[in-house]
Amino acid sequence: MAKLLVIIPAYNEEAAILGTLADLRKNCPEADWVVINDCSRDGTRALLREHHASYLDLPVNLGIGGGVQTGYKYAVEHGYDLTVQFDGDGQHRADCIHDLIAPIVRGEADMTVGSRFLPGTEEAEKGFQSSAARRIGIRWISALIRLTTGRTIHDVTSGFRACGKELTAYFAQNYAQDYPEPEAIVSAMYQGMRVREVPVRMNERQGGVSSIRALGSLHYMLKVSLAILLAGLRLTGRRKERKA
Amino acid sequence: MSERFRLLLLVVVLVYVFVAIKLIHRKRLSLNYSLLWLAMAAGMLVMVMFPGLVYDLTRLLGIDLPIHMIFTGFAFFALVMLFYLTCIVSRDNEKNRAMIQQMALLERRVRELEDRLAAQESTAEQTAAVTEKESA
Repeated sequence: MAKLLVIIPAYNEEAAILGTLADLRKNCPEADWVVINDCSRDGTRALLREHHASYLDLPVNLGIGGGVQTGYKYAVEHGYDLTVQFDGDGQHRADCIHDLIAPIVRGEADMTVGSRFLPGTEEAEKGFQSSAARRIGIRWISALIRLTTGRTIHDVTSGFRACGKELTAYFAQNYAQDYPEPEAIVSAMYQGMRVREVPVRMNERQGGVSSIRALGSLHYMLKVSLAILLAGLRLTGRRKERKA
Repeated sequence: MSERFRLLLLVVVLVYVFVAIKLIHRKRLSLNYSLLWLAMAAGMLVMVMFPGLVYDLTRLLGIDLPIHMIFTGFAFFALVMLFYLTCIVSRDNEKNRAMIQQMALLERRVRELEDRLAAQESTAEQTAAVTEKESA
């Protein structure tokens, strides 16, 4: 049985975090989990301490990228074979984790992204709870990824994803910052990793504020677009170095 | 360039170099980051001592007036300095992040050790109380 770690980034999630942990305990009991408290200003940390939850406490706020990366470092330190990134706000469902990791366990993929809008799923048809600006933003990033890597990922900003051992080790050392979700997919692809989308169901948020509420904003789009375009250049540069 | 202005510039540059070296001595300014600043001081000294060079360089670069050349030179130097500083900030950001992450990982290990120690102590106290009761 592969050792599985669920990494739960949490920033000001006191309203939802216990519900998330209860969901994990009930629907995915074989997994270990670790909450990354990204210097929350509410009672998240006290709550975790009180309930003897497994958590890492960042002394300074790093944002979602630095937080998740801490989880990957923890996974490497403890020799986990599989990592799942799982939001602390109750949006992701523990009963979907098995579907998400299945392709990696079978050795068919190195990374999977839980997708709300793969063609044919219920959410894709009803247009999952997102504004027009968000949808356009996601389409644009998806198109940019297709352009640079030739592969199609629909739900590029999904924070529900799983990584195998090798990719976990890579992300522990190199992980995108600021708005990391799409960039992480691209950098995994450039590492020669097989990235696959898996249809999942998601809940409405139970509390907290999305870390990518900026989606659709000019800064987000510029930063992510540039990151995707630069990821290729950076890695071809590194590959040359390795050969020399 | 008038003699008076040259003298003024010379004094300013010398004071500047003196202050910079003083700060480096007191470790308030690391030598590593001050090289560019010292290079600028050296450049200014050369210009003050050999003003003819300024005119030659202006003509060589195809600029109309020496003052334009000097202003352009300063603007360029400022941009290089800003770029260099941004590089330093970025690198320090990376180092900071790695350090914060390592702190969080270590904090957890300390916390686990403390909890285990506390648990051990409480069981030790309990067994001590039990043996005391038995011997009584």
